[in-house]
Amino acid sequence: MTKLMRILLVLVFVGLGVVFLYPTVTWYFFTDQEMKTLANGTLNEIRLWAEDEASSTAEEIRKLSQDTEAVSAPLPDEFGFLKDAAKENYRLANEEVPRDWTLGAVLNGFRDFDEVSSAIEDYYRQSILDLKEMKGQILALGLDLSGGLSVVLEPDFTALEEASTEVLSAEDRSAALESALEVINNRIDTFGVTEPQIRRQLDDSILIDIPGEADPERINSFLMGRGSLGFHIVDDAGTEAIRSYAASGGKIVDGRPADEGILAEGLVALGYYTKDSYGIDQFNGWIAVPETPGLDGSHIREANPETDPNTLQPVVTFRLDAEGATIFQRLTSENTQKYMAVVLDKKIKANALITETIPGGSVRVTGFNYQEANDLAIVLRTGSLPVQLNIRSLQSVGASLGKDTIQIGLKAMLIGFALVFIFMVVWYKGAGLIADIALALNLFLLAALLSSFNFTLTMTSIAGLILTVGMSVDANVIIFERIKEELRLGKSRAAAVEMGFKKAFWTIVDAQVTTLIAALFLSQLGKGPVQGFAVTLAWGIGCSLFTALFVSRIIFDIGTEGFKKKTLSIAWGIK
Amino acid sequence: MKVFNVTRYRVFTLISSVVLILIFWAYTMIIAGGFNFGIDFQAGLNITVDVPAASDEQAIRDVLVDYSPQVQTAGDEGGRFIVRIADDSKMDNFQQVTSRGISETLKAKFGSAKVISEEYIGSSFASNLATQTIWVTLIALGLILLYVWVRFKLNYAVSAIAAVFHDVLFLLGFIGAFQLEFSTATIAALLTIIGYSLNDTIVIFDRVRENSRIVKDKSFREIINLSISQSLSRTLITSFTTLLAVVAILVLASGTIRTFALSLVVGIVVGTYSSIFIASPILLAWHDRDLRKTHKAVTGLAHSVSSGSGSAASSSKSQANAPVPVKQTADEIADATVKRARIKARKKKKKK
Repeated sequence: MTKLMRILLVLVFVGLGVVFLYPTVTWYFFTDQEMKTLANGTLNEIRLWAEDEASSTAEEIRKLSQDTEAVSAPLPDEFGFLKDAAKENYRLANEEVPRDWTLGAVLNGFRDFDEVSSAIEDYYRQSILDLKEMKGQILALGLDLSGGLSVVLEPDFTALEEASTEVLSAEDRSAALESALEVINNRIDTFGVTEPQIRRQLDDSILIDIPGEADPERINSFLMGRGSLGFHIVDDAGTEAIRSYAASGGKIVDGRPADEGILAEGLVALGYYTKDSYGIDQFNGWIAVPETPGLDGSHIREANPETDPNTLQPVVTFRLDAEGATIFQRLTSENTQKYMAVVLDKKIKANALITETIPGGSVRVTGFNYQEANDLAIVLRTGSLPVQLNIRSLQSVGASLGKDTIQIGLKAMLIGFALVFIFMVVWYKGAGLIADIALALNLFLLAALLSSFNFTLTMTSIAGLILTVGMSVDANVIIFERIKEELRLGKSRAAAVEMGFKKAFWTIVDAQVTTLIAALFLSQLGKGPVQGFAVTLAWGIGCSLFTALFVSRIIFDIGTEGFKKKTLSIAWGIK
Repeated sequence: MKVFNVTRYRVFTLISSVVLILIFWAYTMIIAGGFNFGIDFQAGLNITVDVPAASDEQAIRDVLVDYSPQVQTAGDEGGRFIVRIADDSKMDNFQQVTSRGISETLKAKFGSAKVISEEYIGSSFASNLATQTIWVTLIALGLILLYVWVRFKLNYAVSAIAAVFHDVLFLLGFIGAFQLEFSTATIAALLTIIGYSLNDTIVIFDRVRENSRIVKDKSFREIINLSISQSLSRTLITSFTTLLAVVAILVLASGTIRTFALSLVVGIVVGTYSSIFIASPILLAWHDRDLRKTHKAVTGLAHSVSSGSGSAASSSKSQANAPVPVKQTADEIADATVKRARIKARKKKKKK
């Protein structure tokens, strides 16, 4: 490989590193705390915030638009985002795009002020969702460093086995677990401020991480009770009453209006929710249903999303047990031309007209898109399949404790690394500087690599980092000591560097590959803390081999060939 | 360059290492009553709580007597305690019930009690992590043994792994004897030291391998001493720089990180020591044993040819009394045997 090619290769790696590291640096150094908290928040939180911001911004613009001078003035910078939306609208309407973007020109791009408001809301929502997406590409901090709550739940199938007449197959267990995950996911949108990460682990346990949250009580909100599902016949009169009551500003608490006279005894008012563009439940008004369901969800045996062969529309088919079939047939025959509501966890998820009596215990519900049908199928299953979840381990670290730990730890590490850098320069003079460049590049590449797969940094991965630095320094020391030996024999700079690297090559490869083997193995099979250590170390060794054997060499060669240097500054007393 | 006669002390260093490890372990097991296992390895609940009104650990212990807790003071400012309660898996919802119970009891008694952090490990997980880690590490060491065997020789591989075991046993003994908390951070420290010690040993062995190819007129013992001396400056500089980074953490940080840094400092010193004073002597001892075997076979053969008497059992004695030329011949024959075997192996490879 020519020298130019080698330099180019290094530059390519550095460029890739910058690209990978960009989100991490932006997140930690150029994003203010409020935005970070929001990006950690649940979708519900984001929606509330976007609506708030949008309404105040819209108000500002409305005020400005009444001022004729401001209307003909160029659009203020803080509303610059409206220009793109307006431009798009002009284009869609096949109108000429104005040359000067005055406030008036921008506003003319919208049909009415509501459209402006929704464009503003879109902008705010998107900015947070983008930040949320960026969060998926950064070097994250583990809960032991940043504070938060982490819980591992393990499923207990005994209750399920007792309820079932057959022996549970692996698929049954897996499906039950999937349902449990869905239930937890559903509940999480409802509670709390920060959005938890929920993962199913290899051994079928469920890991829940809630950054920045330290109250273990919160986990109980996920575990208390199972999703309850029922079919209720909608009470039309009650629904009308409760809607007009709510529209006139009446308060509804726990499904009952504050004014008891509005809703007949035995009825409850429940919200009808559909998924909106945030993927979260959108409130669609109140519906009054009897408190006790016409059919309890425990009668559902299975639920499947399918496609109707005639209309190609997605449908959810669910099968009821024998008793459920009888109840359902009676229910539908008695209530034809009425609406039936599917209620999950006190939310109405579907509301459909009963057109005819449904016999046979097989019910098809239409009016969903495929994703919704799939979701509903899971939701229906979750309502009926019980899996007991027990806490296997729980760790909560107060955010302040985490912050202290990481700040002191980071400071100590920086001071330690600084000492290493200084020592290398003092001991090896010019060559020490080369080692420092290699070491810095090593840490930079390692950080970039780890960010690229959204690695979570914990205490033990910091241990891996320290060993990486140690081994990276060691590689350079081995090379330099060899070069010194060659220089003592009276060789020239070029020859000594050549021989030094050549002799050190296999030493370094053998020493580091030995450790690499262990690191790779542990990173595949190790658990939790061991894995964090091993992954950092494995990539660290990779980077260290590259920087010590490749990058240091290039810098030496540039000195020899580029600057025609004859001597080598590598130690006190050797010229 | 000065060549240090490191192997002269090998009996002393080997024995003192073994004795020190035995003392540490005996102290840990008999007097200290075993390792101070942290929450990661013991089913139970660990709560760090700020109780400004509590004067000392005993006050907390008295209030929580129903839970039979272990109480420890945390931090330097006072008023912060770590309460640990074992989970004997007799109670349902142990974590929820106990956690709430403790914080309510403390609040009722001391007025203010703030839970800073909380950890709970169920019984199935606690034993899992420890055993799984041990097994995975042992298999990883096996793979390393294989690699070093292929790249060097079996005796190099075994000596390097022996040094690793020495370091791990020593560090574990140290942690046990000083009752440092055994946590996941300890596992990280042990793994770090395994990596570090191996790296250190392999670099020296690489020099031994290289020198035994180049230097023909010296015994294996001299070659080992020469190799250690040649790579000594590198060994010391590397250890010193790594220690710089770790000592900074030891001095500045607190809590778990500090314990971790302390383990690393001890581990790095022991790891450096073991690659010079443990790994190399074992390598030498192994080589000497092999050499004696060859000697025995060869001198035995030589004797039976020259005098027709002298069995293998008495050969070492007769070797001492034997005239000098014979001994040299034996050495040469031994060398030649090895060389011939090597040439044969090379030819075999070429054929393949």
